[in-house]
Amino acid sequence: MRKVPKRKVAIVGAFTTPCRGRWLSKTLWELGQWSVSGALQDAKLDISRVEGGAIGLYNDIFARQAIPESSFLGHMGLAFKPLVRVTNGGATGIYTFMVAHDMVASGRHDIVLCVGTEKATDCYDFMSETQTPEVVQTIAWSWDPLFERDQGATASDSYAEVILSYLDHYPHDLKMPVRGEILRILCEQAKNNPNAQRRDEIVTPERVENSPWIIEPAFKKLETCVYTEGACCLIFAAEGAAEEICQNAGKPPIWIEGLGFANEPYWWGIKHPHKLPGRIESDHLAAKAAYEMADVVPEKIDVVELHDAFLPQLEITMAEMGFVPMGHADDLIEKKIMAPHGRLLVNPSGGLIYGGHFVGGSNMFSAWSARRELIGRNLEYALVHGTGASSAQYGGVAILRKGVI
Amino acid sequence: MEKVMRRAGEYVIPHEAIPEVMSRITVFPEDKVVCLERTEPMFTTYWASAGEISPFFLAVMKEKKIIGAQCPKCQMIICPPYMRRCPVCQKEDFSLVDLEVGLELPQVGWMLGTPPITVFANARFARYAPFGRGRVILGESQSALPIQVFTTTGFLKPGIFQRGTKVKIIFRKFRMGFSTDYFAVPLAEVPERLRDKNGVEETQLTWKSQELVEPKVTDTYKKPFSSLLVAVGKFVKEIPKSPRAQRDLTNWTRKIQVQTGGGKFGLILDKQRIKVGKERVPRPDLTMVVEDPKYLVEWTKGESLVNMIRMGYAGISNLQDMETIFKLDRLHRSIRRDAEEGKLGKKGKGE
Repeated sequence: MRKVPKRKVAIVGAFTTPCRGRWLSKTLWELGQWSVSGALQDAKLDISRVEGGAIGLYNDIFARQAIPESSFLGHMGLAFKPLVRVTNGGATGIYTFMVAHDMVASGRHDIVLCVGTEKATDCYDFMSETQTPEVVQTIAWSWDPLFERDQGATASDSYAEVILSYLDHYPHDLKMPVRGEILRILCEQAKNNPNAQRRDEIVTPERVENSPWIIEPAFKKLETCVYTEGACCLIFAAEGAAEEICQNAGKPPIWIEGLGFANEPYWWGIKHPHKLPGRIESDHLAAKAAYEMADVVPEKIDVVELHDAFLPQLEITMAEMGFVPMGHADDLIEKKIMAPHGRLLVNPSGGLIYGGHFVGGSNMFSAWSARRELIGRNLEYALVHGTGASSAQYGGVAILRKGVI
Repeated sequence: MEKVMRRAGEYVIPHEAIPEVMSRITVFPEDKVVCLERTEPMFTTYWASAGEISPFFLAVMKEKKIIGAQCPKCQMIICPPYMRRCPVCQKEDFSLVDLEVGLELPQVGWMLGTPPITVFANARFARYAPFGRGRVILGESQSALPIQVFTTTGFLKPGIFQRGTKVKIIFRKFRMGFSTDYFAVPLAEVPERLRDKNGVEETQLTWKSQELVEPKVTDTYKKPFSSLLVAVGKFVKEIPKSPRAQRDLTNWTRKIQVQTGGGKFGLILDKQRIKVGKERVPRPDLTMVVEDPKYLVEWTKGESLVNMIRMGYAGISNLQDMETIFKLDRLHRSIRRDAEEGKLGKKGKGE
């Protein structure tokens, strides 16, 4: 049954900070506040009209503080107003999007902020004298402490399990030359994103092939997402208020037409209720629910902003969401589906691999980019996707549609 | 009074991971802002209870048994027994067979999927990489037991473990109630006399380790070795011109003896630079063996030493020092990025 919210919600303003591997000169507070200020300017809106918000902050260890949202709620202009902190693994951003949407769609509020921010690379491993192993270690605390953590589980190897088990079922898919070509395209697209973290890099399929294994034989270094410090703020408004704000700002509303979410169980097995090898069912179910709510089919989508934690997972997710058949994800390139070879624009921001991945706000960053493309290229539909948690357990999808002013 | 087991001298937070109380004034090259950095911790220590799952770990520790649980209503078996109530039928308390009785499972099973081999690990596990971790189905269990995978051959390469590979559960000699008390090896690597036995310990298997043999110097490799020295010399001269490459080598000192079939030389990592040393390096921290010098020439062009080690074209004396190899691998990309950056557009200011 098609689920329709009580009232429609639109994105009426958005701002993202530049993505950097490290913002040494800015605290988490400053990054969050910067994005809020930018979004308010984008919408030509006074903070006094904002009634509350939701903030995505992935984990307390990155922030070096438990309940970190408490100390900068006031900085964001939300003193004496409700602010909900959301944390839901890598999918924190898309789940924050859901909470902020529902705050408005339910009729409780007319205008809210949807903020996501993260500072990850203050983490430092004093044994290797680098940041990444400690950042990865921080994420590894999310594994269950009884059965998996002591075995050395990491974010990368749980996604690798998903990818390798997909290859167990479809050994002729996810071919390296196709992966290299998709990466080349994403890298090229990142150059059109002024806030992309790796817009200064040139990546070729050969360079991908030559980069070191991270998890063998699942993926190599140049196929993995980056760690980013940054923030993004979206402003959501209810129909009525949305049109008025957009008229004033001179930008069309971006209506949130569909939303879908699904989480798979933690434990893997041979049948339900366990997570099944070779699948990311959360992505499939989330997309299905979002399509139904928006009453669209994948063929109608013009832009996809997908949470590409790892390149082969991007391909599997595209298959799970119905853009290519399962087992034929390479059709994205081989059958000229993905731009510039085909029509469908995938990760024009550069995605999480080239654009940036500040976990609490990455999916807002994706929505920021989708809005930018819908307006800039005068397109109709965009899909924003988020995934996260061990083994890509969590999935969320939003369908956006450009309105008129 | 509880019995306390301990690994003497081993700490939950390794001493070498704990920095001193320090601060520093840093000017970040990207925005030229002067900032203060301090070393900070965020930690909690626990006497953590395994609660209702304790019988599983006690069975491993005391009896070298793997137990699962079964729902008396729908008959679903799970291993590990990660809960007491069936999630499908969950209406009654304790609907799964009591863990204290448990359901003993066979100790030969099959891999649910091809297990990943972690080459780049998190900080706590870097010293163990590369290592494998996967999931095994035992008996009629519908869920898979997360498990470390090892090969007795000394080199964990892709293909040893695949989906469906039959494996044997092996127990550590010293067990303390962690999920590392047991692991899996391919059944084919277990002597036939032990295959049907339960409770096999690691010491009952023969373990091989990779030997690092100094290659013989031959005429075939002498000429490419001369080209190698030129290529390496040219490559390391680029490091002082690249801020990224210098950052890669921050606070890292190593004396590496490189041995090839054409001759040997040293790589001395110090003060964010690399010097190419003479033939013999006194008391090296690390020895790297690459029989064919052409592979090291390829490294100076951007190919990965990590991948060469994984493919068997190169070897190092201390696998626990893979971090040094990762640092050497980063250099080419860092130099390239710094060179290419000037040719590309300016960074954004937020939008």
